[in-house]
Amino acid sequence: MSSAPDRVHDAVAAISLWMARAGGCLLLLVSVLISIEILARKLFLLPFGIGTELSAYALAIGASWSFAYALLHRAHVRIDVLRNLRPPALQALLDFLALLSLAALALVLTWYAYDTAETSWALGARENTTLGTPLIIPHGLWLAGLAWFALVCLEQLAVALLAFARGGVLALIQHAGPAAMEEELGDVLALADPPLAGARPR
Amino acid sequence: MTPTSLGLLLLFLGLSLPVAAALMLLALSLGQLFAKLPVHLAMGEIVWSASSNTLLVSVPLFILLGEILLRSGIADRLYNSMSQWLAWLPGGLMHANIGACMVFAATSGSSVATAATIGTVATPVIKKYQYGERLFLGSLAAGGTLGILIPPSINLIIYGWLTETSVPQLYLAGFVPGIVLGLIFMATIVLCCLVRPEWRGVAIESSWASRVESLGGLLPPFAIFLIVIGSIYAGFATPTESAALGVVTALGLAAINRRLTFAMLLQALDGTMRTTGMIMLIVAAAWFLNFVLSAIGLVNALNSFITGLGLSPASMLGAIIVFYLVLGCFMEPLPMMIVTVPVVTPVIVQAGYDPVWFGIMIVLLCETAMITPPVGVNLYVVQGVRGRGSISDVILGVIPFIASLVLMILLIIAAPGMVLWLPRLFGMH
Repeated sequence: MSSAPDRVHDAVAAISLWMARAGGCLLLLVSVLISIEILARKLFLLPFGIGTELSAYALAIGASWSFAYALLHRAHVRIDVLRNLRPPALQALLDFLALLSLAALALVLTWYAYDTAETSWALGARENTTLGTPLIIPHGLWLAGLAWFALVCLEQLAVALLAFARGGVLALIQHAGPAAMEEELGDVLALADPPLAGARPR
Repeated sequence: MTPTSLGLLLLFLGLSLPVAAALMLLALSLGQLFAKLPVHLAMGEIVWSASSNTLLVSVPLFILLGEILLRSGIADRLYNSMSQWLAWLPGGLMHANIGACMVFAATSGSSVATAATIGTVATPVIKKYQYGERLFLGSLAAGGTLGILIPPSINLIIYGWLTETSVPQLYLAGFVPGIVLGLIFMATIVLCCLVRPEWRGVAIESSWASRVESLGGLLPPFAIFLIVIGSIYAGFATPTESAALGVVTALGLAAINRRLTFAMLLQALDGTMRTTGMIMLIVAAAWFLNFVLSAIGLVNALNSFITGLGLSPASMLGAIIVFYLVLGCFMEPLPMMIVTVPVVTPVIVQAGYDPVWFGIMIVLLCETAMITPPVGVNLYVVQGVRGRGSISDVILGVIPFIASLVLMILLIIAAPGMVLWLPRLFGMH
């Protein structure tokens, strides 16, 4: 079978995964920064406060960079109780609609985020803080995450259509259907926290 | 306006569109139908302001904290200590399940993390001590829900953000109900074991010496609790800063237990970002929807609509509770909160109820939502860590605890002072 779409998809998945991880690292870094700040404030009476501002950017960027990753793991929740009662053909249609609506959301968000970023670029806007961050930096990175999310939504739509063309309704459901609860929690459950020897009551 | 909005929301959610997409579609349709000004032009600014909200930073940080604690190796000694102290009660280690969940809840803002962490160490002993397996599993799923009632709590942070209620006050308000609910869970276990003695399991012997010795296992969770919660009330840190301190402390504990590896950190980050992506996309859409709702005056319209019904405050509260109990069967708690709280809270506050008190009520309803099938996340977590048998064992086992939660809901209606006593004691309320 043609493996070109597969190769594209592997790349999309890898990029999405590492973007999410990069976003997570930002959050980890601001945690460390804020902790240092608090220690400096309390122990050495050194007041400096950039952590809070940076953490807000880390949230916006980290979140937008993880939207695509969450999509690929079907983590964007749907209320699927009614859907599950429908015949497969209708389920497939609903799954396709779900993907389509998410793509629309992503495109709309990207469009208006571009607007915002473009304005702060044109005005050379800076955050009104000691750091005086040029807003185009956080806005631009935020926009990049949203744009990637929109791209991945479109790619997923294409993959779903391809699956439908090849394997019909069931293939589409398998690709675009909601994740089973067990699957969704897969990682929490693969936590592998092996018991410490002898710590259990005998 | 109110019927159209509600109808569209039900239609979009009923079509099983992703919650975030449904909210955005609703916002754009309502803006198109009812707004006098082109509200969508403000979308970029509004979504950015929600996405970069400094209070909301604590949400992914608490998810990350939970993911790290889950893998940090602190749960075993905590569980051991709780079993030394509590397993003499009828129902044995089931009380340790509740006790360990209560302690863990004081370090974790997430119920999934609580149920998964304690479930992992507890489930292997079910067969060994011949417990009634269903009730044992139920006690884990229910005990885990305490994660969001006993502070810190992701749900209380989201509630505080949505309703502009003080998070430190909400945290204080959660303490007493959290402890009382834990005790009610334990009483439920005793009661079940008195009715069905075959569920009790084999008694576990302990001595005072080993009890005292086991207390060391409580030190790591106590340290995190002291740092995360203590730093807020000592005036060291904002709720967000305290979450950051918690993450760093948890990393330190994991390192001490030799669990801190690159692979472990990546696993924790992956889990965190999946949940963060899901929540923040809903937050972004919901915040824009809230903007549209206030622009078209829907909250006021809804308020006068409900006032027009001539319901007494008590019957309105009753209707809202039933609404959440039903909705909670089909919806995960956080999306449920983000969608409903901005509209419901003004109505309930208008009727004379306290917003801090109502925050605790919402959390109790979220806890119930976590263990009511078919969509009850904790049921699946416990089934997952058990790794065998059928989910229906957990569902059947949790029924007595659903009754306990309903009892608790009635209890805070009858005695609202239970919720507000501690915030008042600290002079914050």
